[in-house]
Amino acid sequence: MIIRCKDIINLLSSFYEHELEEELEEVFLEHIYECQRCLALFNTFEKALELFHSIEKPVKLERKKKQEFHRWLRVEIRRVVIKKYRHY
Amino acid sequence: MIQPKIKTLDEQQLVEAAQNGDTYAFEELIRRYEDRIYSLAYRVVHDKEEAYDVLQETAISAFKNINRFKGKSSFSTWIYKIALNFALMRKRKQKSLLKKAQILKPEDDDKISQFVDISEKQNITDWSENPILNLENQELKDLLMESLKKLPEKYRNVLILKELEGRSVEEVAKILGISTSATKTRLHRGKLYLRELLDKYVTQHI
Repeated sequence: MIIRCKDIINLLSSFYEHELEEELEEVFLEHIYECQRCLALFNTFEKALELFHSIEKPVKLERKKKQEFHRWLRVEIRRVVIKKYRHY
Repeated sequence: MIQPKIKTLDEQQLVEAAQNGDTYAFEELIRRYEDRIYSLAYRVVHDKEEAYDVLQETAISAFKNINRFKGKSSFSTWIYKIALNFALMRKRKQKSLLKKAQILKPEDDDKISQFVDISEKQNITDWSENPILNLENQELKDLLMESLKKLPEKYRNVLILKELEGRSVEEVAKILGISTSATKTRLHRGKLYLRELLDKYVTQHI
């Protein structure tokens, strides 16, 4: 099996996610070891994702806001339930 | 105060109890997902107050519709879908306001296609070890954040759900109501977009 530089671009994500079949993965690796252009492409692709992952940390609700939300939810749920039973 | 017994129930038991009218079970379900819902909402709307509003809308909508949940997907996928829809509605409102003010224009699809088309490029520089690409570099952080905001919604949503929220491709597809192959294509193009963006940034700084 032979793959060209154009194929490498399309396979980058699958390789990164370890989704390629064994044989194709080997051919992919052989190609990027021999082709400097594709090796650069893969290294920079991986680096871009690494930076992206570390740029946005999960945002957490502050404790006070969380308590406020719990109180709000309990009241709102009661309201919905009361409305529903009034309907019957 | 939620009864201690509720805390020991698994997700399926909680859903069943909530569907049978146990409001404490529903509250416990929301407690298990509130941080993730808030985080997802924040990543879409980029505003803490609006993200909190999304959390409220999601929780109450889920309560009203809990009996429509048939267990075809996991509860978390179902509630994520609700949250994403509310967040996107708010995002679209923000966008239309921004459009009026002409502050931020999202990139269009054609522009993205041209941007990520690197097949004809003869030389690709390996900048993966370049020291300017570090997270102390505020300019770089701002660039990535702003670029994410400017990405068309279809690419941005898959990147947020898969790469930042850590959902599987199958879950992302279910949440967005698209096929897994469409999800993979969008993800791939979104990732290429990020690489190209950094490529341009490094080239300008060499």
